[in-house]
Amino acid sequence: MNPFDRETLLFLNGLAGRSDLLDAVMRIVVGDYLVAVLGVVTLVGLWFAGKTPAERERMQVTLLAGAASVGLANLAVTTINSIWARPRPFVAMPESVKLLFYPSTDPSFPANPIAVAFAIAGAVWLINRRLGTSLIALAAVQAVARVYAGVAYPTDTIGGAVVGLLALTGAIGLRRLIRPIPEMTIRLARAFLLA
Amino acid sequence: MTPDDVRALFIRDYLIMSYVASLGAIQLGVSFGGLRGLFLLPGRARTRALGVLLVCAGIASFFLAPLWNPGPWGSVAGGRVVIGAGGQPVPWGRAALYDLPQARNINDTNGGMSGNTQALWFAVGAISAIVTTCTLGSIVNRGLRSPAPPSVGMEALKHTTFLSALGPSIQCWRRTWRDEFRGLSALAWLTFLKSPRKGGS
Repeated sequence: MNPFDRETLLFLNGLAGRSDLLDAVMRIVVGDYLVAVLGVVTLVGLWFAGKTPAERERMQVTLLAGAASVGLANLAVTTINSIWARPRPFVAMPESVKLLFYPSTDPSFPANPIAVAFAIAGAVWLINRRLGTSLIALAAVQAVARVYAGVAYPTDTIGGAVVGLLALTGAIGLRRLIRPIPEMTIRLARAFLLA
Repeated sequence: MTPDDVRALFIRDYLIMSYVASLGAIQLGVSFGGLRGLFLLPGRARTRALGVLLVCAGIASFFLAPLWNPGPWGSVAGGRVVIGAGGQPVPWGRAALYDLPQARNINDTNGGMSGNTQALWFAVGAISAIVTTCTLGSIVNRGLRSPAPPSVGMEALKHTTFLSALGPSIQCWRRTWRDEFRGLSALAWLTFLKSPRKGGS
């Protein structure tokens, strides 16, 4: 294990158990639901938020790319997991890690929730800088929380963020390559007043 | 209790959260987009306030539900132990306030929701919220009549309700979809022909 992972993990996880309030906040943030739901709910809201037809179409095409990037990020994580099944910190160092989360059974690298959170936050950032920055900050807090809770190494969360942002870049590139498909989707939705 | 019993509890609460939070997010979105035909309350400010309230209520309901719904939320003997850890039996009951932050942290192998299950049920909740918004918005804003010629797509909802604009919009689409499809096919071919540029000069 590299010294950066070990030292950072032991420092952050060493803070666990000192403050009930901080532990409670980290337990909620590290979970599978809060950050993901806030991200997806933001995507839903932004679908309706464009002020002109042109702005709406630009936003909706980006939102479709954001949704596609979540699928791509999951695919990338599954592929990487099949190549390298890195054991979780609480498995590799059971004597030194305090686990504040359920003992995940899937490989540690890259952190899947972080990949998804960054893919969504990146898509939102492309549409609305302020909202996107808030979601990126929330995803970063979740990344720190995963290390704090002893469920991931720092490089797992950094890798997750990179995978998420690369998936978004890939989805945007793919959008340009398969431009008629999102356009057709939006035109069909427009017929039913949904775009 | 089996993981399927736990999953059923999760799905019910998650569906409520995704429905209510999506309803709120849509109200926030339409207030910024000025789509008056989808407002559930009169006025932008009230619609926006309702949106914030519904998003917060939806998320809070999911995380607070273990306080009144029995489930595998309680901590096991020995204090705050992660639920399901080490295969220990988990008592079935209401969560204490103390256990609330960890109550939803249950692995999908023990009855929590996997990413795919979340995506599926979120989609169900969000689609239901869209249907509700379109229906209720049409009832609440039934007095809204467009003085201008009807616009295409969501833009029409700035001046009229969903139900009154739906028929003309579908009729318009039925008249033009073949031309649009031909245009998009041509665009697809152009994209396809233009894409392998790397080897070119």
